Amino acid sequence: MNAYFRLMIFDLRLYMRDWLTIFWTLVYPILMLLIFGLIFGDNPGIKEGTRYIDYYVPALCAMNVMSVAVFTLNINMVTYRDSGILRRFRVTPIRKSAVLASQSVQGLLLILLGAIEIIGVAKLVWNIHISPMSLILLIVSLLFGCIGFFSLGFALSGLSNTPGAASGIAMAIFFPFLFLSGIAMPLEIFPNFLQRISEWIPMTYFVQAVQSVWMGESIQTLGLEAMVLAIFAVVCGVLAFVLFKWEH
Amino acid sequence: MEQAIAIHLDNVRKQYGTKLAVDGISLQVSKGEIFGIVGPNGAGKTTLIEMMEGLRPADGGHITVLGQDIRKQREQIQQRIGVLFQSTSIPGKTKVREVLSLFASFYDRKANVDEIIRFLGLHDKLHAMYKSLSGGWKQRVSLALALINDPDIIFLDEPSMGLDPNARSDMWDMILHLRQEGRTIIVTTHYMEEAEALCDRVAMIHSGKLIAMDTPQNLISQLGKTQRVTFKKVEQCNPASLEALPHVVNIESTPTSVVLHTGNADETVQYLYQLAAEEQWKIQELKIDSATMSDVFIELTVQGGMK
Repeated sequence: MNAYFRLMIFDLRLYMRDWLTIFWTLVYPILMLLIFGLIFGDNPGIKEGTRYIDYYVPALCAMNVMSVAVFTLNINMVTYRDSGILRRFRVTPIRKSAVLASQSVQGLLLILLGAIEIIGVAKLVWNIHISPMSLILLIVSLLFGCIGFFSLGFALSGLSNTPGAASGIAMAIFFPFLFLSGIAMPLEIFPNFLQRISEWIPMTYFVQAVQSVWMGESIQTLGLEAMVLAIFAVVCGVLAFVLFKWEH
Repeated sequence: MEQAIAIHLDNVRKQYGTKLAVDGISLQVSKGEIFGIVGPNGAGKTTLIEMMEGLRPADGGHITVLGQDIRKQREQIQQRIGVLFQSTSIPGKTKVREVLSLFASFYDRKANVDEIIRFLGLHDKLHAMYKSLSGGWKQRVSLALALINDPDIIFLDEPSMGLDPNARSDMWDMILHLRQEGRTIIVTTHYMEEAEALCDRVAMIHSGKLIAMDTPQNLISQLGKTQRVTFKKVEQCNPASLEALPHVVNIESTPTSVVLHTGNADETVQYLYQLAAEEQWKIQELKIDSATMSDVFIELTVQGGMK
């Protein structure tokens, strides 16, 4: 147990020494919140009496799940493999799975921290309404999304041999998912064909799910979203199983 | 039950595609000895040592480490071995102290970390980032990790590769000190003088096969009865006529010099001067050395090639 704990601390220290990752996971979401929030934030939302910012806050939390998975976990695992420390671990009694566990814990911490940060800033700037129930449901659905996205991150790490290549692949996934899932701009302002494409992006359903629970809608209406996310998790799990590798 | 044998390899094979990297090697390493595995790059040394470490499974044969089967009791074995890898393998933005305590937490048995720090002179580097260290210091950190569980067996893969002469000589002293503490040490190297200086016994590997195994002194005296005659290369000298000189067993040629391996340097040199006079060229910078491990190795691989 001590070994797992030490490894987590070790990984967190490495994280804190990497400004680029800190930017993507903790600064970028706030920049997105402020930029798009100040443009669209006070526009009326879909439901009567809501504002656009109410939909934007949970969407950004979901974006953080994606960015932590495809950037942080993906690049960390490639860096680990590339530096050769995984090979060194393999001649010690620590189990390989400890590395995945430690990375996953780091990912969850970053996602929680990101959510606190986003909700906190939105409260300060737009004085959004926060109910305890929607807060809990938001966290639960973020965790549910983590299953698929973390698997995706680990799967992607198998495709690159260098951290640079990994961040290239991460961007190729992140930005289409970001813009086509309606996080950055409302889907309603998209041309028709882009809206059709967005229906094929799992991220769209994740965003809709977290927005619905945050807005206090009944969970029973989220059958489609839950199903898409479950299929996504299974597919990414299989991909991770096939693509993930410990050595070059 | 304590045995005198630290490692036992029985007809071990490893294949990559169609290439046999390790081809039926059997050997025993006694407790407390420094055992060298030598051979040119690509001979199969690293594959062999990595199979002993449990990092690669053998495709055939048996490996027993400290009396335990490497396939079945890998974790127990890993508690008691230390490994120094060929290349550095620690993330750059890590402090020395942090990586030491991380690795220490992996083991049930702990070494006295302060003692390791003192032994390797790491005290001033504990708060330095790994990436800021020079090659010699990085290698010391790696050695500290290999010692962190007070191991019974230490595997060193090319421990002095890329080190400057001072750092290399320090590394040799440290290795000899570790043996004095009663540990068994397995070391691979392609520097024959390293094997000669350090090892109690040496296994010579060529193309995945064991071609000789003995103490360096015995190998040299049994097989290395040759001497080396070196002189400056000139255009007019004909390799075929050099090869025909009495007692010459082999010729090495570099861009600037020629080395004759001979069973009798005195006579060979006499005939060499005659030959040079006949062919009308001058012998310059002539030098005679006695055999080293390198000569033994060259001789053995030449014999192997002729078979």
